[in-house]
Amino acid sequence: MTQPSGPLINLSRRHVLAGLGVGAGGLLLGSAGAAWAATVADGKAPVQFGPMLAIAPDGAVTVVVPTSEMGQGTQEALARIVAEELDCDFARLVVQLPWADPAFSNPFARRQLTANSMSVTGYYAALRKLGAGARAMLLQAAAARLAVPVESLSVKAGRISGGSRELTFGEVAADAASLPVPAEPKLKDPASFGVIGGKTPRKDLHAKVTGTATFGIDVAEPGMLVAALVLAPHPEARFTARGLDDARKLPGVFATTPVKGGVAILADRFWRAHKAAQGVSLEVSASPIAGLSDESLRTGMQAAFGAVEPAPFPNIEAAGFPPKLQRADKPQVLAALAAAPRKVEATYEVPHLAHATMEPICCSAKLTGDGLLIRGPLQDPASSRDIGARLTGLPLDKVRVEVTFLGGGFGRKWGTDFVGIAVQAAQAAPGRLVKTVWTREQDFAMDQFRPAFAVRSVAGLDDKGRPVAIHSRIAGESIAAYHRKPAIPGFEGLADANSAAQLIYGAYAVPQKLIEYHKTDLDVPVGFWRSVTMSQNAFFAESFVDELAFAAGQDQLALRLAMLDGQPRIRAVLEKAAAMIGWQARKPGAGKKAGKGRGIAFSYSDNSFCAIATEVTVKGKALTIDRMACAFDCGLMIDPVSTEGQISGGIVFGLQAALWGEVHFTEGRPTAENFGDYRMPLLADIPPIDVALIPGGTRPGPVGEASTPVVAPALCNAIADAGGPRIRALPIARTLEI
Amino acid sequence: MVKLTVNGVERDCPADPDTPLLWALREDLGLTGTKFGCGVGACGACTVHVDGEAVRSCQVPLSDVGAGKVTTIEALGPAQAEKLHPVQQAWVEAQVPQCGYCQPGMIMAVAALLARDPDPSEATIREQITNICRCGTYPRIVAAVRQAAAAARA
Repeated sequence: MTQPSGPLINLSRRHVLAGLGVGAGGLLLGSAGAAWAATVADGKAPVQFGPMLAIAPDGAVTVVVPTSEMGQGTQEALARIVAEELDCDFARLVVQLPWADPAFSNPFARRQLTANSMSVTGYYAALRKLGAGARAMLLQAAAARLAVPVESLSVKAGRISGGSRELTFGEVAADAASLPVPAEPKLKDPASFGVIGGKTPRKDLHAKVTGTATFGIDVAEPGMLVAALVLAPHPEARFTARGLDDARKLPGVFATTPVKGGVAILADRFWRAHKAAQGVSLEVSASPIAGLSDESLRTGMQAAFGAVEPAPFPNIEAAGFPPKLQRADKPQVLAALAAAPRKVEATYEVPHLAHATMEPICCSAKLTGDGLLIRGPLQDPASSRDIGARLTGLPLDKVRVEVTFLGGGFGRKWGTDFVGIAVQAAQAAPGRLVKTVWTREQDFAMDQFRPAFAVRSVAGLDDKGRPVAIHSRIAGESIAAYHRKPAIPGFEGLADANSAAQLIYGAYAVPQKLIEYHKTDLDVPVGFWRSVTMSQNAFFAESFVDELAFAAGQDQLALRLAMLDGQPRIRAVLEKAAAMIGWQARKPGAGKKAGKGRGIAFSYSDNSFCAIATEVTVKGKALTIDRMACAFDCGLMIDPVSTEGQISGGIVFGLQAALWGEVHFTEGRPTAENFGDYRMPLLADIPPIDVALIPGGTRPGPVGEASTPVVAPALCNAIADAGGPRIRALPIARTLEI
Repeated sequence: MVKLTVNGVERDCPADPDTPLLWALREDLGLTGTKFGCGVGACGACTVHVDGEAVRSCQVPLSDVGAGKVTTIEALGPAQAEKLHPVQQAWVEAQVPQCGYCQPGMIMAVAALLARDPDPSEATIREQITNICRCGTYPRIVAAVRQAAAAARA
């Protein structure tokens, strides 16, 4: 398997890093936040203000946005941050897609990768400083040109005014480049922001509605080849390929070549490569998941509860920044449970999930005497470059990686397995661009899935029904282990955060909380899936708290609020979402007679708080979702229209997972072949969804993953409230008809 | 060589006659706005118009296209550069696209719907538009279709 070499940081690890004291300012050591220099080549070329910003003599401003655009609006958001401080004409600003370059590293991740809802938060300070620094230099150059004090100048939309005279950015850019870069340029007061927080349409919309946006699958040049694949059931499987000689004789076929976990067939057209691939079969002699089935997966996870010594994970108290990490005292937790007058126990499980990006996995590569070019829909261009260098033996500076638009990512294109395969295919046709295109069937079968997990939770309630202790244990595969990631320094011996973080919400003021992880070695390819840890743990944590409300006979919202003193922003989103559906306090399950129920749940990370309240009708086995209401607070919003789209789209993504998402395994293979076996919501399935964005704050928070994990617990809590079954195993379609 | 009429122009297409129209458009005619999503006609990313009807082009072999007039996303709008079809215009105004990969197919499906039903009800829109969008842009789509319909009638 391919192994990106950088540290693995995700939604929950962001907390962990912050907890280690690597706080906001201290993290800005990455290259995108590092000192930059201005350069001017000649009188005609654009003047570079560092690696990301260029101003041409005609005033045209170009920003290379270092992150990957996969629908989340990162291009728009990061460009706005630069433009806000620069005071250029944002309508004319041109955004350029990135290539792999250490100078583009995310200051938080210290790698150039797009994951963990970390783009705006990671680059925010560095890009403000870039825009403000360039603006200061341009103003100073204009002041010298006009022989007036710099304080007398004003600037708007790329035009600098000094009394009766006006200069454009383009006219002074070359002069400005020779000035020193200010170390600490003056930043704007966020109260005066206009581009940040504005509602102008995204810059990529025109290309995306006219079919001119270039996605990974659209990469083309004359004389290119297309590779189709025949893949074994696991990247590490051993096999013998049959039928290659015949395949090579077919029209248009250029070559066949072994790649990681399979064979590539190169032809002049996709259809010819694809047809040739149909005649090739792999005789598999060994596979790490030989014989794997739904049953053996479940048995394996349940066995791990007894057979695998648990690793603890600390509680994350995320109210402040940096949040406090608190290690539990296991004997104290167990004693509190033993002493509690009442106990509630429950077991839960969630299945593997597929990413199913609309653009199937694809990547292009070209090996020439000058080096290697990789072009594709990549969330991790830095690791892609490493892989290209490793496979070809070329030095890094001979490997260029260019990022196209991504037709969806959701974490799948953070994986780099497909990049290595594309490079191997290109090695069979030196001098020619080779585009490797996976079929939808291969995209499903060889996904790096969200792992399946099983949970056992126990809580102790006091005589007033208040939770005094919760102990939750989780079993399932470790993403860090599959990708052979080292532990974060200082966190050796602790559970993989991708599995265990927030299994019990740190925000809840329950006196004793203990999270433990029984790492389960299953060898199923697994990876990041939109919201990662929270994708499973919001369901486990918020379902169990809801069960405690039922056990105590207390209103589900009231019980939550009672445990959230000192968490005003969580309380605010909960109360707002509840108000949006007209929530009235009452005992859980009181709507049973009419089959009407309401449920609520939330998720949070640093500076990002999302609550969903929903109303459902359950008649026998039939579930109807009447409405969903979401309240979201991410502090300062860079692009409110995109933010709303991410939250409502994230809810649809969460609906798919909650209602239907489930990858089955039989005889050592996943059985999902195409969309017919992996039900996607269509327009007709979408309930009314209202989103309330809570404005305010001076610091932006994560957006893209916030709403997805909240859907399943909100729905399952509503189903129980309606007198339906308490759903403890997803997806809901296992139990109810939708 | 297969003769095709695409976007008002007769073209000679060198692809094998059993090649799905999708791949001939993309690889032989350079019209990459039409997308590959599933290859089984399930997702609609490859939707084009043949004689004005929405067709999932991954399911149509070149040999079946015959004299059918094919229109792709590249030629949906008026010929003048920068001019958009009312559906495209509504998509921009409502900021529908996220990743944007499914949207050419979605827009072609909606344009065909409006061509035969200029004022579809919300129920009709929900029932007739069966393309998959993984980013979940559906909540904005119904409003955008209604807006496009109103603009087209105006």
